[in-house]
Amino acid sequence: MFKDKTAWFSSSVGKGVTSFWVAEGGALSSWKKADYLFSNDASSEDTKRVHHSEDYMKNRATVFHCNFLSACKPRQSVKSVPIGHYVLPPDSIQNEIRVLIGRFIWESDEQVMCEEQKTT
Amino acid sequence: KPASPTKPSNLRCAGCVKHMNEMDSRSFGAVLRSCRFQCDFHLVLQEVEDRFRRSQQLEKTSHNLTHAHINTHGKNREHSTCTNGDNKRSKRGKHRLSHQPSDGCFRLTPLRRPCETYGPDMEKNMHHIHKKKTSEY
Ligand SMILES: [Zn+2]
Repeated sequence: MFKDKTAWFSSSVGKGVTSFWVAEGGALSSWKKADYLFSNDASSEDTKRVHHSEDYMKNRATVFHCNFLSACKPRQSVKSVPIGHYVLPPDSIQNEIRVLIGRFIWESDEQVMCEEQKTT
Repeated sequence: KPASPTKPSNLRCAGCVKHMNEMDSRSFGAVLRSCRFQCDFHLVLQEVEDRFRRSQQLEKTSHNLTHAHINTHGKNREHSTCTNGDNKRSKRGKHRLSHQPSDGCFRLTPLRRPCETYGPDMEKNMHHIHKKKTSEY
């Protein structure tokens, strides 16, 4: 699924997600070189570093929430999940965005997953 | 009959419809920027992120400015001009304003004016003082 793609994973991302990426043919790289940047927590130090980097200032380092990959897993396709919904903005501005648009999709996903687990 | 977009919030933009093979962490920003229409989420996201970037940039440049100022201050004290001192003062004024609004404001304004309007005269006075001093010796 992730053949010919390189990703960087924040230390906040669980091992299971990273191994899923590798198992599906994805490669790992540094945060400066990777095509895709994934994090589970914008307040983690390594993600903060990305959000304060020159690349981010130049709009060339969007961090995505790793729940995107969890959403791809059951669908076995990257085309049915819009990655643009899984943007993980800097920690300090998340509340400002929440006030304007409500919950992030990666937050509601978590909730849906929890509810699914409860019913099954 | 083309469907007229009555509710823009229900429309999806490039940031919504493009999938992983069409954009990555490096191109996402450019995709949003080149998109003529943006859904509510991506519009808000871009605006707030841009504001964050501007404030970061501002922090950086102000850091650089203070560093540059310290450097020049040490090297050529003699050449410090009126405008230079003015910048310094207005910056300090802002800091003071936040701590003690009324006092700082009133004290600063008259201090600034003589420097701006009577700059040359002050220089003359300085020379005068200098001459006096030397004659005294
Ligand atoms: Zn959108």
